[in-house]
Amino acid sequence: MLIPLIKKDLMIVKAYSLGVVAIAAGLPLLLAWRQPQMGGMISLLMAVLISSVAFNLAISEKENQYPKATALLSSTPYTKGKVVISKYALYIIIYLVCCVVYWGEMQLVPDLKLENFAQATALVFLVQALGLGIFLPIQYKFGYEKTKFVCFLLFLSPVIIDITKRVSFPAQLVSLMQSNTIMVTAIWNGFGICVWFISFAISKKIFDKKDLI
Amino acid sequence: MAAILEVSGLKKSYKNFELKNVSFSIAEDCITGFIGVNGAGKTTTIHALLNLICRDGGVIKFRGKDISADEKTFKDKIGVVFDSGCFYDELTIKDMTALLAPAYSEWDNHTYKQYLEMFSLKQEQIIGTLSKGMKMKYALALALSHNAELLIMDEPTSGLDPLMREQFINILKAYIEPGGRSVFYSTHNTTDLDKSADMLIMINAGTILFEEEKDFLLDKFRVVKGDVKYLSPDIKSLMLHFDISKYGFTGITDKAPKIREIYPDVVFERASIEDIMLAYVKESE
Repeated sequence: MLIPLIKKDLMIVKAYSLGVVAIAAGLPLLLAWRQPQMGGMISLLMAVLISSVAFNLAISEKENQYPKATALLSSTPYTKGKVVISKYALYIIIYLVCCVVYWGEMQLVPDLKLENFAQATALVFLVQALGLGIFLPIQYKFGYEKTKFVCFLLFLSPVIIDITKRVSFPAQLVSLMQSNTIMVTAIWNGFGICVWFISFAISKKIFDKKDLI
Repeated sequence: MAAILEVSGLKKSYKNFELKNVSFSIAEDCITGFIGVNGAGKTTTIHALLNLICRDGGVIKFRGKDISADEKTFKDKIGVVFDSGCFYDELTIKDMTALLAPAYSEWDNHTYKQYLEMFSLKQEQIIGTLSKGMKMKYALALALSHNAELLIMDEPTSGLDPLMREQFINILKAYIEPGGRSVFYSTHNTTDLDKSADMLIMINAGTILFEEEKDFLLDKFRVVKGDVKYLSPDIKSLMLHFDISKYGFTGITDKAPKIREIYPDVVFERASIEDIMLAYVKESE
C-alpha cells in the first residue's frame, strides 16, 4: 500500500528525480577524482544526504503547492499515518539505492574502496537517521516554508563527520571498534533503526494533530 | 430511516471562528444538503468529519461505530469530493488513479472506466490541463468507483455548467437508488438542492440552525408580501425576517395560517430554499 505513495513522490518531482540519481551516482566519482581526501565513506555520506535533502526540498515544495492533494490522500484509506510512513520509506530507499550504486562504483574505481563496507554503510545509515530523523518532525511541525533553510544544515553533516574523524578517540574505544567490527556495525544499525522509529512516531503524532487545510 | 452518520458535539476553535457543538445525523437512502453562506462552517465541518483538521471535541459515528476506532474502514466506505485543486497538476488522470485506486478495498475499474467515458475524460490527459468542471467530473468518477456507502462532497457543483449540474444531480439520484447509500454535500447554490435534496441541514456562524426534510421546510415556510400598513408589531413577531421597500414589505414566515387569520389581504407565495436560508441568516444577524 506504500508503493503508490512513494511512486507519487517520485512522479511529482519527476524533473528533479534524474538529477538526484545523477548526484547519487556521480558525486562519489567526482570526489574520488577531484578531492581524493574526501573519498570513501564521506563521499557515500554526501551522496546519501544530498540526495535525501534534494528530494525532501523538491517534494515538500510540490506538496506545499497542492495542500488539498495531501488532504485528499488523507481522506482515503491511506489515512494520515500511511502518508507519513511513505515519506520515511522513501529516505530508506534513497539510502539503499546510494549504497548499491556506491558498491558498484567501488568495484570499478579503486579510490572508492572502503576497508569495511558494512561498517561504513552502517555509520552512514546512522548519520542519515540522525540528520533527517531530527529534521523531519521539525518540518512536520513548522511546515516547509519555515524550515526549508534548516534543510541545508544537513549538507554540513559530512563536514562534521570529517572533523570528528580527526578527533582522537580513547585508544580502548578505537581498538574495540577495530577488533569487533560486526558488533560496532550492529550497534550503529540498531541506533539508526531506533532513531528512525522514534522520529516516525513523533512525526505521525504531529501530523495527526495538524490541520491539513 | 437508519442513520448512516451521526455527529454529536463537534467543536473546533480558530482565532476568528468556531464550530459550536455541531450535531446532526445523515439518514440512509437520502441526499442531504448542507447549506449556509460563505464562512458559515460548512467546509470546516466536512474537514472535521474527514479528520483533516484536529477537532477539539465531539464524536462521529459511521453506522453506529466511532470512526476514531477504525478510521481506515470508515474512509474505505466513503467517497470524497473537494471543491477544486485537490490533485497534482503534473500527473495524468491515469497516474492519479494509480495512486488512489490501490487504497480502496472495493475499487471497481469497470465502473471507473464507464464514468470516464460518460464524462469524456481520457486517461492520458494531464490534470493541470483540465478545466475546473472537468476536474470535478474526475473527482466524482473517483468517488463513485469504489462502492462507497456515503458520498461526502464540499461545494461539488461550483464551477459546473447547468448541463453538468443536471447530470450531476441525476448521477447522485442513480447512486442512492440501490439502497443503503447516502449523499452529504455542502453548497451555497440552493437551486441544485431544490432538485436533488431530501434533507437539509443549515449551519450559520458555526451553529446548526435546522435539520429538516426539504419538503417539510418548503411546506412550512411562506413568503409574505403586503402593504407597509399591515406591518404591525403582531405581524412582525410572526415573521422570521422581513424587508421594507417603497412598494411594501416582504417577509418569511412559518406561521402563515396565523397571519392570514389576522390580515387576509396579505399575499403568500411559496418560499425557496434560498429564501429560507437567507431569512435565517438575517434573523441571526
